[in-house]
Amino acid sequence: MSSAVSELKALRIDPRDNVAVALDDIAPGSQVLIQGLTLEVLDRVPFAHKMAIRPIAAGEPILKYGVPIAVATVSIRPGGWVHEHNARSYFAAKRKVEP
Amino acid sequence: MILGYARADGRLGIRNHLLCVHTVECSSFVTQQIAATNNRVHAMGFAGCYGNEYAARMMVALGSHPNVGGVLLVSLGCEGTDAGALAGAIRRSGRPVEVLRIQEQGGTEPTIRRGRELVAGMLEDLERVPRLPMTMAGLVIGAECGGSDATSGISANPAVGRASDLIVDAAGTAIIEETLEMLGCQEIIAARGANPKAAEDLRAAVEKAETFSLQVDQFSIAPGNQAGGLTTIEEKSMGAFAKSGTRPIQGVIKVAEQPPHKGLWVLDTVPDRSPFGFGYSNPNDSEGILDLISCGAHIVVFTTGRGSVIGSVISPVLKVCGNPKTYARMSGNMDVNAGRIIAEGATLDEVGREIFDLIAATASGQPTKAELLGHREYFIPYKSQDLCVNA
Repeated sequence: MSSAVSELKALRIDPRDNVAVALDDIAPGSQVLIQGLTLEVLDRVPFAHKMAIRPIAAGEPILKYGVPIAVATVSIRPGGWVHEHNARSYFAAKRKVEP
Repeated sequence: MILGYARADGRLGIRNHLLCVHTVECSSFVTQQIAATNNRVHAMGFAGCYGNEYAARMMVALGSHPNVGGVLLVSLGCEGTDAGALAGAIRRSGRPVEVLRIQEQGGTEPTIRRGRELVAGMLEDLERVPRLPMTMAGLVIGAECGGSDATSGISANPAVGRASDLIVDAAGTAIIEETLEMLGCQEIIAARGANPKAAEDLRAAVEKAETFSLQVDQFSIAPGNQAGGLTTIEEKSMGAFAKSGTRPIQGVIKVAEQPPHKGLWVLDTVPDRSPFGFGYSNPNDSEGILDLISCGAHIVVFTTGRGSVIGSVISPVLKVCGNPKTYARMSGNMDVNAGRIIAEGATLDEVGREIFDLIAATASGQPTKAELLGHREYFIPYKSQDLCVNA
């Protein structure tokens, strides 16, 4: 596996965001450079999915587009894949049936 | 230059179609058989037997659409929808309208025979519709997304937003819908209101969508959206709303209502009440496209990331694909490759301009991929909706 830092592999949409979007399938152990920040990716992050770029505690908002788009259900380390296994909708708590 | 088809009510169309409408599922086969004789005849209708005011209003709006030059209504003869009343309402737009009732005509074969005669005569009349020059200012453009993934919010939808800004700046009209996909964003959306009433109406429309979603316990997010990297409805909403561009939003309209003046509008398609105590949050993409067309959209711009193949009756559908991998697999269905923004570093402005230019070319008669492939999907569900009064 190449150890080169890839610059075009992830995008942070808003400076307030604590996640970045993968612009390609990213393998665990990859180093990616995201707007000046070098990040070691911990999990396999599929194309267009999100990874944490800062530590996110359980109960903290996931910020994308500069706004909360989900709440973390467990703590997430920088470089961790962020999806349904560790984040959920704010509407989930209001639902009659938990998905 | 766009040469519009001038209708008797003063509206200008960019296509010159004849519409065959079944007023109950029982007459849909006969309707399709009549329409199959000529490519310019589009078949659609409402499947239910029990009449529905919303569906009837929808069929009148579609029969009076600027891209439609004449209507044949095909009824079985005993359904709740009153084909004669629909005909009267469409006729007030100056469109020629004919009605056939299968039970009166004597069944399948006599109705198809008579229907084909009527259609042949109406097609001859369509050839004589006067043409008048029109500009982007005369166009109504709808925008919708479907089969979204996490590319939609960074490529296709913001690029459509740029095209929407160009349409508004050219004094045209743009409509976005899917308030069910604005959940969690009501403050951002309300802040875009052109005036205090628009802001209040936008906030109320999104809150209504949230209440309805919780009532029916369905959120407008599908398994494919999540496989494509969208974790929640809030995330999908932020990406979907990017289709609106940056211009002020003039207000909220309901299905089958024309925007009262030019500019950018939000279409609220959410039921105001659920007649059977249940309902869909978002039935399917074809319903959304037809809702936009019922408000007068000449063209619908449809963005996708996972991939979609649908077109529509009445108005051309332009497909903008935001995911470069999907585009590579399904380019035969896609009119614009917005995946270039991700894979090739194209700018949102470049792709937005490409979409705007393609809207102009489509309005001038250039067929979209969905038109060339013969896609003519439509969907009208049972629904209850009160009209807005924006006048």
